[in-house]
Amino acid sequence: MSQAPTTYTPPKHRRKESHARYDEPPIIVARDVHKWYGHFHALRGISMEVYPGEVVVIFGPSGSGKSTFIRCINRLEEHQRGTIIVDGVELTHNLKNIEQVRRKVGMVFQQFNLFPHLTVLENVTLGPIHVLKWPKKKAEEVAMELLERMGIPEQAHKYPGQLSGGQQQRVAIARALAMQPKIMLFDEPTSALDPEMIKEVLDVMIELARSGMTMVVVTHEMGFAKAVADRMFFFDQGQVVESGTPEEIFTEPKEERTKLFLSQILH
Amino acid sequence: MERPLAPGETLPPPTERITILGWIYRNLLSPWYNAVLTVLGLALAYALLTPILRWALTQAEWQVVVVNLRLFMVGQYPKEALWRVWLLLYLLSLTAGWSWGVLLGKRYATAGLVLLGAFIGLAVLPFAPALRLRWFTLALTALGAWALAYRWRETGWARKVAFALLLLYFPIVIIVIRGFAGWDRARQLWAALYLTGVLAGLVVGMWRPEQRWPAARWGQFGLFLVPLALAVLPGFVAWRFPLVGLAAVTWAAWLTGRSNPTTLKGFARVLVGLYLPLLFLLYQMGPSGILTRAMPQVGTNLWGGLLLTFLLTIVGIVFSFPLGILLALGRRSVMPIIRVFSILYIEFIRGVPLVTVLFMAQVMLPLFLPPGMTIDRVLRAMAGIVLFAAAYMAENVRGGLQAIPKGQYEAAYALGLNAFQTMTLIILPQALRNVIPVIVNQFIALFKDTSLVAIVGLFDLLGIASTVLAQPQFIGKQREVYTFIGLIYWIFSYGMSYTSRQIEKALGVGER
Ligand SMILES: Nc1ncnc2c1ncn2[C@@H]1O[C@H](COP(=O)(O)OP(=O)(O)O)[C@@H](O)[C@H]1O
Ligand SMILES: [Mg+2]
Repeated sequence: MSQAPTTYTPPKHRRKESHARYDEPPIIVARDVHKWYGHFHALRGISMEVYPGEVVVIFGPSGSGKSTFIRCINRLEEHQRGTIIVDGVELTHNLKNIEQVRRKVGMVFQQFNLFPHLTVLENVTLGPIHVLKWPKKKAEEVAMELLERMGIPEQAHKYPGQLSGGQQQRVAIARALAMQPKIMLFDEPTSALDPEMIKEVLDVMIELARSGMTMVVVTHEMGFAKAVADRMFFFDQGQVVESGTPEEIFTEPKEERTKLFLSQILH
Repeated sequence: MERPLAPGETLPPPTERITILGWIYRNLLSPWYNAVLTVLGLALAYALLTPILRWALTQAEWQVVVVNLRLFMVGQYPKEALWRVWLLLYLLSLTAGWSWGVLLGKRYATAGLVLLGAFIGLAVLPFAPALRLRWFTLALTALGAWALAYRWRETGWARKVAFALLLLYFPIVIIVIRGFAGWDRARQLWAALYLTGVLAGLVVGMWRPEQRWPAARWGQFGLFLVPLALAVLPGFVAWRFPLVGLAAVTWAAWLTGRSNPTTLKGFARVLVGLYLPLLFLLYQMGPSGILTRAMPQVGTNLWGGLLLTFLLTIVGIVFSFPLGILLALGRRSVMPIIRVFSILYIEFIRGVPLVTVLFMAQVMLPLFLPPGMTIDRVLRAMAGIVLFAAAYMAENVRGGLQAIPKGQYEAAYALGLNAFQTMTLIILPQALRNVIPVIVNQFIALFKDTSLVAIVGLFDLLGIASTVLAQPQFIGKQREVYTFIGLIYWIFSYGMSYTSRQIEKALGVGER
């Protein structure tokens, strides 16, 4: 149990409805994380602390290492230097630790990655039945509640291929939530969607944020960031260039690169 | 009469009236080169078919087939044991009808009716009356099973019965065809011990007694430590191997039970319920037991004809399938030893023809066995076929595995599934579904390739053909004999390929 000292001073302008608990120890600690692909240095010393209940948005140009970083948090990628501690468990080669972290962390992918040979309901109950060892009945009840919450209970018995992109992504969110995670990771969840479907996915993500879930979201949806983000991190070339509350980032960005990037995506 | 549609109004799709002449015109005669091809095709068919048909209907002497029908079907399988083959056919009717009713319901009714019609047609042909009655009752069994299963298809137990029948059919076939040799008491005792070990391991593993009695935490290890300890004692030298085996299966069952208590609950319950009946059956497998007297062993040297062809095929399919999957996974393994072994094996087998493998199995296999142990020619051929087919199966499965996107693994791992669960629940079901056509192709090829065992001296369908042709009164009847067995091969090959297409459709391969 290694816990980082709370060095963080809460942001000045906290959103009223924020659930972030800055008085508690951070639930994700990344210290000086490095990652290479062959000779290519993809993450060059990322440090970040995420507090329970906090919503963190990561943004930055393509290829800046955003995906690589959040995939390190549940060990889909392995970092080669530095430390990552999730809810008190350090990610090392120890399979037990990895297993423990993955149970606490849900992930939603850009390409949905639903299991095409299983129905929506089976997709959502798979984890609870086989990982949490719940009885099928309980898993199905919880899954139906989640699908209700996502607004798609009537799709339960269809196959993913029969749904629209927005519906598929909401199933993916339900599938991750069914594991009762403490933390949700989103890697550009709306980038593969047609414009009219982006909103339906953002709506459930905003609802999730307001319910107090800890979220790390890679996205360029600045409306989402303004609505629910507690803090934002700007990534460029494998480093955190700048971080701050949405107000700070949008109204008084300190770094030239942040300004330039924001001006590009806001127009 | 074109008028604009009112908002929300929809029209039915245009109906097309298709007349026979219209169909013929559109599909066969236009444009003009189609007409030429049609005419050429018809001429070719006429030129090919008329001589064959004329020969088959007027000149051919089918007596050779009629007289030797039993030989073609079952070879030298003893006449007094033939009822066992019929029993299996009835069981097959029952299994097919029942699982059709439960799993497919009224779907593919045409195919079902064609099958039924074929059997009833056989009942009308001029076979012996007893035989005709059997064909008829076989059809009736299937139909009855279907109707009952259809009626109860919504109930859970009907499904369970269907799966049990499908799973158990293969082992039952082997047991019934082979029969019981009359095990001595020691053997029976060991079998009973193994059965008990598996059951005890499973139940204790699922039950986790330490949650109730802390003392049981280590006590339960006694299950496999006791046989292991006995194996080390000098007094038990003769029993060393079976004891270690007993410890191993008990331990494996215990681990299985522990890791999957919820999914195995039903299975364990069935096993517990069957424990005493199984022990009773085991007892009856003794030298004077009921089973031994009812179904005495029939040596594999007497298996022959279509029966042997089927047995070789079924054994080949049932064993090469899992073996091939393991080899395919091995070839993609991160562990170098497993990977290299899989690659060497697959590439070696793919580099030699089946005949060579069959000869090797006949002459080389005995080298790998402990001294004093022999296995008969049919078993050796089966081993050769399995080892051969597994390499090809592995390559087919590997093709399916390669088509699965990386995101599927990532989503599974992110959910917390372990590598084994990811493989069995997510990756393999998709990979196998994608390669059903290729796998069925391989099964069809396997079915036909079994005819090569005739070369190593077995009397499968083809082997029987040569013995029949060697009979003095049927010399020179090659045309009739080879046409007949060719037809048999064709019927079953086509049946398999038809079935696979239906499975593909039902699973939506290429759609989802
Ligand atoms: N599996 C990989 N192999 C090699 N290079 C990779 C791999 N994954 C990502 N990269 C590289 O690492 C960099 C960061 O990628 P990524 O984290 O996906 O960026 P982002 O998500 O910010 O667009 C990119 O330059 C990308 O080309
Ligand atoms: Mg990315």
